[in-house]
Amino acid sequence: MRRIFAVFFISLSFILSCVNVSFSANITIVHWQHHFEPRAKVVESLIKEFTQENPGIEVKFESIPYDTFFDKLVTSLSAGTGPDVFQIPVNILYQFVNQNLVLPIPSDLMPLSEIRNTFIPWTIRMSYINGKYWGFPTDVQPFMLFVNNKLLEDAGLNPAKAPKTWKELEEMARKTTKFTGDKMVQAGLNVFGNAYHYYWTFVYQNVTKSVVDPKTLKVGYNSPEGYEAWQFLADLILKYHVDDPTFLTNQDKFALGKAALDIHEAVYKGNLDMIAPNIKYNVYIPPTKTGKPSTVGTNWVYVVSSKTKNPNVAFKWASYLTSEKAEKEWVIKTGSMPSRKTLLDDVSLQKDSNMIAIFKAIKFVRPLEDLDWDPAWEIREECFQNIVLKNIDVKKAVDLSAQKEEALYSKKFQK
Amino acid sequence: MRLKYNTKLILWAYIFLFPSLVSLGIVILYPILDAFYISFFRWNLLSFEKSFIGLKNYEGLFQDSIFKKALINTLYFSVISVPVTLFIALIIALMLNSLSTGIKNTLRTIYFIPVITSIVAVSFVWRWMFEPSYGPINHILGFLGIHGIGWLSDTKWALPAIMIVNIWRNIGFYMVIFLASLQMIPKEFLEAALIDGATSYKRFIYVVLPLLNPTVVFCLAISIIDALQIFTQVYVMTSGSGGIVPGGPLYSTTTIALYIYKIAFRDLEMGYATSVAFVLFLLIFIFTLIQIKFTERPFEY
Repeated sequence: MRRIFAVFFISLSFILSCVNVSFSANITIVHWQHHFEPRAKVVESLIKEFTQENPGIEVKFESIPYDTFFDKLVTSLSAGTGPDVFQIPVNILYQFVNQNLVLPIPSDLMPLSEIRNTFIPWTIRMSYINGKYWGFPTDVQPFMLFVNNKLLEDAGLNPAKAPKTWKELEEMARKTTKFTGDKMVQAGLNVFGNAYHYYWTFVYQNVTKSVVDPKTLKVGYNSPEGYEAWQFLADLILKYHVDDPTFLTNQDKFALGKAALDIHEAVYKGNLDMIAPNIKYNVYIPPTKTGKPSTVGTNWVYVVSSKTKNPNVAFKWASYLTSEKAEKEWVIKTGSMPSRKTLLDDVSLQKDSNMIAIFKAIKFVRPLEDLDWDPAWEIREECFQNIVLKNIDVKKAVDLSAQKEEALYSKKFQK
Repeated sequence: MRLKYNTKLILWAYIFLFPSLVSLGIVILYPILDAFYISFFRWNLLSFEKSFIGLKNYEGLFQDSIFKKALINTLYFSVISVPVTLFIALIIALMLNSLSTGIKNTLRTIYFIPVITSIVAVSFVWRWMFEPSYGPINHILGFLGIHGIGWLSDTKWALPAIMIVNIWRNIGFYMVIFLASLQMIPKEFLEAALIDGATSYKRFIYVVLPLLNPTVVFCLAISIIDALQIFTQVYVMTSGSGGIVPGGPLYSTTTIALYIYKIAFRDLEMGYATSVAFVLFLLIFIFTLIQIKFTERPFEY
């Protein structure tokens, strides 16, 4: 009898050790996203926590500079050697879905109803394709107005009083713009830093119909409301000279303390705290023409490659990145906004007036409707430059841009 | 069967050449032929499917205003930067050739430093130097009474700014080649010309320059090929942190190489990008043939 027990226990321990080996065998997940210093640090700390909670799983993280991110991603996916989990703008997700490059979120991990109940509707709007959700929303960015308190006080303005209308913004920008002779020494607005922050904001605030209609592939900014938004931006530069292309070209004037106001994604807060800790600033929802609060917002999605060898583990990691615990870290450490509804009312995350303003702004976001990323942006950038650098009539430049953007979309959707 | 001695030699030569011919075939010839094949297809880089469209990609080039702009920019860049670079390099080489060895070696090293410096780092530094409001270049020009050049923010000045960087960077390289060539010219020829009463100008025109002809042809060929493919300086100097389109403002610095990159990796149209690449290939081929035809002159004394 003893012998039988001995053989039984030896066999059992052998089987268990084999099972243990198979569980502890390392699974490696490769994760790519574009580099943004504060976000990269959060991913690194989340990897530590995730791998501690899930022994046997290793996450290899590459934070790739934005300028080369898409080059590297598309070439590697095309060659079938891409990462398991990666981040893309939700606006181009349909292109990846159409080419079978990504997997849908499995319903056993998160059913459709749970996804709808969990995430803010505008962050998942474009990731619902063919009856499935294909990505976890992240990098939620309402566009906000950043105000340099000192420069406003120097101009005799109250930085605690937010401009509500375009008219108030224009007046504030004019009062804070400084020249020595004919040379600009301080910009009112940092328009040339990243002009898209301005034309996206003003256009999406002002155009009531679709800015891009996914059914007709037509754009809506070549309309009286669209022309008005572009004209307002043109006037800021050409009529009121609140910024100049030759003043600190390609520099972040706001972070350098050389621009009083700037419109930026909310995550700029995290960057600003890191690169310009001495600048005291307030954050507000960008002013609109009528004063009714509205801003544009963008978000990216974490997706799982269809070529991954470990889809379950990859989805586990992708969902962990957007878990409640992880999203709190995103908010606290980067200034990125949460995509989960429950966190919108979490006052522990709204530690100062700037965070309160950003959280409040999420409720007034109109998501970016573009059906492409860099190519669509380039067309509108050309429109902006045609207006401010070549003095082309606003209507003419906007019409040309609309025509090019519609041609781009019709080409993209060509079968 | 006994092979002739010469046949044997040739056979051995090919045996030794075989490994490099195979590797060249795989890494150069095959990609070129494959790219030419792809240029007849519509192929989105994200897709694994290609659809044959014949010559449509090439036809599209005629209606593409950005391609035309890129072509003009590339030719303008090459036509200005190549002769200026070679002219300055030759002048410096002539000056250094007349100096004592110690000073010559020191100056040669100094002029060569930009060539071995990282082009990306160099472009970033120049971008800062060209900054219109606080950059040192406009500051210096201000002392000369020249104000308000927008450099990289101005559609008229952006490409000349990149030309300046390219000329500055390449002078050292061509200067070294010219200097080596000048040192090869037999002193007897120059002494004979001197005895015949030739002035230094005539010695240069009738003795030095003809003997430098093969070097000039070589430098011209590689500098034109280099200029027609200009990419890195343009990309680094004209792109911003996600907010500035490379090749701007308003495509004023978009070159063909940059346009190929943009179509392939931003617009993801690989078929169209390869058709533009073949136009660039043809352009380089034609330019090289023309200049060899017009500049190469066999010269013997």
